[in-house]
Amino acid sequence: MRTATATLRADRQAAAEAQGHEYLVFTIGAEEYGIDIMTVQEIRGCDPMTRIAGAPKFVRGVINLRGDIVPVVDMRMKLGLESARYDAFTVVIVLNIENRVVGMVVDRVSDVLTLRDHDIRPAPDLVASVDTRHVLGLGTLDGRMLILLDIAAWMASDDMALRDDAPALADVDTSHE
Amino acid sequence: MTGDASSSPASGGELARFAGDFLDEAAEHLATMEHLLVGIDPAAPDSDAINAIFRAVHSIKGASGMFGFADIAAIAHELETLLDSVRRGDIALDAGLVDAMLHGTDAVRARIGQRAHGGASPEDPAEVCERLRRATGGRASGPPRGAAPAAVRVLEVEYRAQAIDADALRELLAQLGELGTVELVPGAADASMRTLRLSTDTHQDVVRTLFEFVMDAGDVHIRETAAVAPAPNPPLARSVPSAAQESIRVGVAKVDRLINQVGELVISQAMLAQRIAELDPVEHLPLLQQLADLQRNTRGLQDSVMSIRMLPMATVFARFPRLVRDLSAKLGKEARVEIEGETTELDKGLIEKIVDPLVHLVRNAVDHGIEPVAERVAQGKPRAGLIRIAARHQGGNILIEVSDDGRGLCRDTIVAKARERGIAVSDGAKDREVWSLIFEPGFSTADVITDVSGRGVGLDVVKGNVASLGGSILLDSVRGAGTSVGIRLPLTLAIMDGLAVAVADERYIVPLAGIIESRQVRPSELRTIVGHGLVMEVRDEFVPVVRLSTLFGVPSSAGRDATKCDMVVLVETEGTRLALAVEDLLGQSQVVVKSLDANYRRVPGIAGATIMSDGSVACILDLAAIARRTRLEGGPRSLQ
Repeated sequence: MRTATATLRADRQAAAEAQGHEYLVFTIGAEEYGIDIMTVQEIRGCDPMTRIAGAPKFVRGVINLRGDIVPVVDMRMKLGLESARYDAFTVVIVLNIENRVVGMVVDRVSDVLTLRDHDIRPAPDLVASVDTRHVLGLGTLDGRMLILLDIAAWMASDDMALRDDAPALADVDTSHE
Repeated sequence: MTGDASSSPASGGELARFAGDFLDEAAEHLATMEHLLVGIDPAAPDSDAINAIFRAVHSIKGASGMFGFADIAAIAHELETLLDSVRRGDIALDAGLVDAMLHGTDAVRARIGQRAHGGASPEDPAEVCERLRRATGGRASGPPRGAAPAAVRVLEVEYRAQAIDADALRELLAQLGELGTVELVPGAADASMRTLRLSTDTHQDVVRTLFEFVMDAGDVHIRETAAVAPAPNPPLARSVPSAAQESIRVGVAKVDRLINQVGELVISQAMLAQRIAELDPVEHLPLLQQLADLQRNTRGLQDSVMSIRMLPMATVFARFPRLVRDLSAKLGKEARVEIEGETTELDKGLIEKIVDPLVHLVRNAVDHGIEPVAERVAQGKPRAGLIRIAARHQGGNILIEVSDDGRGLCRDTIVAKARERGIAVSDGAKDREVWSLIFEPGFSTADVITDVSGRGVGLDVVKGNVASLGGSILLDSVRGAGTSVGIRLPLTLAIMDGLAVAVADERYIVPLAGIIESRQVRPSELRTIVGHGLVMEVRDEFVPVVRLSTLFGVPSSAGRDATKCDMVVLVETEGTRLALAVEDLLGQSQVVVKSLDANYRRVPGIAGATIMSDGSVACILDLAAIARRTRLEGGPRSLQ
């Protein structure tokens, strides 16, 4: 029984290894990036955005996504490039990470690629302007090089300032009274 | 029957879920009992009230027996016996008996609480029963203790033999045995069917439910063959199931989903309306008329859906007569409760959260407000203090007041205490400002720390709770005449009336509840005070001007003259007035409140967001936070 389960697990792993993981590939500036397709909820154009007071510059505002208020991050600005252009061609990748939804503006979404483990090399210390903590590795396929991002961890990190970790000012105020 | 049966024969999955319903219902019956017991006059008991209490006890006894909660059934049985004797005039009701019955009610509640939430084992049921028996002094002569409930009907249950296996049948028979006597009727016409005869006082629907747990509804047929032996109270026993059919229990999550979807519908409808408004009205007259219908219907639907979540304040107020009764007895005071507006409805979510603050205020009123009897008599006041708890609708809000006719607050003591704590108070401070000091953290003017209040949580917690619900708290007090605390709350957290304002190219929603007026400003009304920035003179009061464009750092408004302002919205929150400088008023509407922190984070000065009729997002101002920030900095600054 135990052996059968172990064999089954090994088989599954082998199958996963053979099939590889799917990555959504997008472009920002001159670089190509890949993120786990399972974090992607949808890809859409950009709706009118509402600026949020006090948000970092790269958080461009919030949009109404079918009744949910969803923040939008400008990845160009996050990566130190000038702001993205906001027009009919702007592409927003909507991510769903642990039931929190966030939009991410990129230059272009190119395709979905399947990478196997042996296609992925560890990231060198410096990859473009992305902190290596948020890089899973470098994917190579047919001569292309993809920067594979750990987008779930990055969006949840303090760096993105998208979550309530520090107490809100309103709470601090009360204690001053 | 007095054994502590913590494991029940009804522990199977499906039945366990029904047991949950039983616990809910039992809690309601207990609340009814308590309410009636507290209100009863032992000298001249109202027979309707006694009957209603009896019905509630009887329901609890019946259902707890069915679910195998023998301990609860045992206590309920004693209560029933006692009440029956009172009802038949065998024993006279007195205050001791009422106390004993309240104690029994508490014991049942404790046991239900333990089943629902776990926790420490409550008092031994045998002791509770013994105490109830003692209270009657052996005068009660109800049905013999431990006897099965008197049979009121005979049910014939025909079921398909193959629909149930032996184990399930054994368990089912055990459950039926709890309800009454079961016998197998031999010689059914159809060989594949079996017939059971059950003599019980349980309604056949309950029996049917038991069968339908284990077999398809089509495999069982139940009919009532005869009613036997006059039951002690047949009409009462039968009234219970019929009442249950008048309402259904629905999970709050389901209701919330419904509310969200209707919210979406209202927005879609508004967006459609905006599009259609651009069309030629003459050419599209029928379309416009149909749209008006749709608008009316969606608004009606929204109101109906919101009303599902609304509960009467009675659900909160019901506990206060008992609370005040027990508390005043403990403190050696006399107090009575007057309740007004218990039918006023409030959102379920708010009701749950307002209980603790109200309990706190009522405790305070009894403990600190109402004077001891001797002191009251010396002052020519009635012996019993009066605690008045009232609720009423006021605009889009509910106003809940807790007032007492006690000693009132002492201004001098509060001022002295504040100064002792390093809070600057000017001698000319308005009463309103002095009273607001007692809501500061750790501020208690009670001379002695009592067991009742004044320990741990203070009024600052009450204020914080109320503020977190989008409400405000106001206190008024007259020395020697009493204190009144008013809590103003929105009716619901989901929908709010707001005024849309424009600041450069951005739009914000100001909660209507906080608005005093909005108007243009004459330059003569404005002054610049060093250290306080711009203030506006409103009826002999200088109100700080908060420029929303500065507060929220609106980029497109940079470089505008900071000493000018044309349009203000005057608001008041937590006793502080502010003049919000805006550029335009866009109109007032009902908005569906959405949280920003579901996907983003909380933002200082912003209470939430809403979706405007054009589908874009606008932020809703958090007036209390803006006022606090303004007070803190002595003038309006940017929140960032």
